[in-house]
Amino acid sequence: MAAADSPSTALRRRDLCSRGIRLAGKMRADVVDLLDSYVEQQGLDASASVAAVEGVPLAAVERWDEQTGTQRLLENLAAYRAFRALLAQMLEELREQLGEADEGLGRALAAVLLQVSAFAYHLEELLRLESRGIPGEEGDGPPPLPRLSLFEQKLRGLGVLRELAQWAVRSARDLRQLAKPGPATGTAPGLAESP
Amino acid sequence: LSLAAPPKEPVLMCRSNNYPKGFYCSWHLPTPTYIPNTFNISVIHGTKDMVCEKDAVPKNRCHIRYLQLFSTVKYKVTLTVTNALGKNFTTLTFDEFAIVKPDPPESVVAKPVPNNPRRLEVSWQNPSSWPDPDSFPLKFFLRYRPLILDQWQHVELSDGTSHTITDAYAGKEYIIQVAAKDNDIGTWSDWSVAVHATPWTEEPKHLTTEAQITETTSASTSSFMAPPTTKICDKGAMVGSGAVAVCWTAGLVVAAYSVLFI
Repeated sequence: MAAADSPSTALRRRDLCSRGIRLAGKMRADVVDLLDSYVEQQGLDASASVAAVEGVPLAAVERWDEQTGTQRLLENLAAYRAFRALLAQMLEELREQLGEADEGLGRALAAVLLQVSAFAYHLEELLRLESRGIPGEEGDGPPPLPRLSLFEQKLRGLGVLRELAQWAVRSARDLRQLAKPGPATGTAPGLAESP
Repeated sequence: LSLAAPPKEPVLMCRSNNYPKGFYCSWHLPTPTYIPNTFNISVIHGTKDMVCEKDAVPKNRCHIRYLQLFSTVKYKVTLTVTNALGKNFTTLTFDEFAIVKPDPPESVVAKPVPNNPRRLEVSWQNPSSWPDPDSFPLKFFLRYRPLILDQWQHVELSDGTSHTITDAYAGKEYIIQVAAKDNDIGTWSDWSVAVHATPWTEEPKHLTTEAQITETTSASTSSFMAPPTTKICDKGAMVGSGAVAVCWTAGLVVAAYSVLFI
């Protein structure tokens, strides 16, 4: 059941959405920079097509404009929790692969991981504001990934970062939808009902 | 007499000026064939065939609705042209966000600001083809220069559809244009239609020079003071050089003054 949209709730939502949009924008810029470095240092072709990677949440969505606010928040939260685990795994693989040889890429990846964690927390705040239960994390995150060859690991990393960049764009759009003022009843569009 | 020819590789362009609704592709032949040609276009997104609905006008364009948003899977568009003498084709592959390019801003207006000789107020509107500027806001790039100079000044604006130029040269006519881009993806629009404006200037007043006043003063009984605004010497009337250069006019004045004290 949606919480009554009091003025303070509406203000808090707008504030959280504005900050979330800025976080998503910064995250996207950093992911794009990281992608460039990753492609260059891993010796990959930037235009290479990567098949959908198991466990990577796809940003692509049909009928995006018809989603409710709850759907947007829950899908975003599930995605960023999954990315948190995927990036942590990438970081571990990178350290195994490069050791101390390249700290720049590792540092950049760690910084993005931090932003992803922060964004997931931000989404939880928004869900709490709407008096929505925060889904548990046991079922989230990718299943343990099979051990891949070095090249396959690199391609998987490329797929993860590309999808994360797209999610950052989608998240900013989702939060703008959430931040829109509600109708006269005081219920924000998209947050009126559960799916 | 023109010889019929098989088609050369067609030129194909795809663009989304109404994101997130869809995109359009348009095409033409680089050289005429002088016989009828048939164009066929196919659009594939991943493994899915999509329908490109042909526009009635112009005939060399079709549009596609986005069925998905935020996809990392590329679109592949193939255009085949066929006539009685042969066939040719071209293919474009692109990401959803790479082809987003809004139309230029509309209704650009530039006005002087009363009592502000260095300001111009500029306003514009979102392109009418952009369907949802609230959810997909545009950012803007404004450029301006006085007509007498070639170098543009640039300002990027992340929100709002107006801006006040505060460093205009007083009294100079300016040319101003605006471009738009989705806040997150795609490329800048073409520049808008140019508008011209001149900053506010004060009305010229009737000025009375002190030279006119001093002409009526008696030379024998009163001291003669050169008015500060009156030019005493023209360059061509100088004699001597350096620190002791004296002009004829000044010389006469000094001589007259000296006579009074003899």
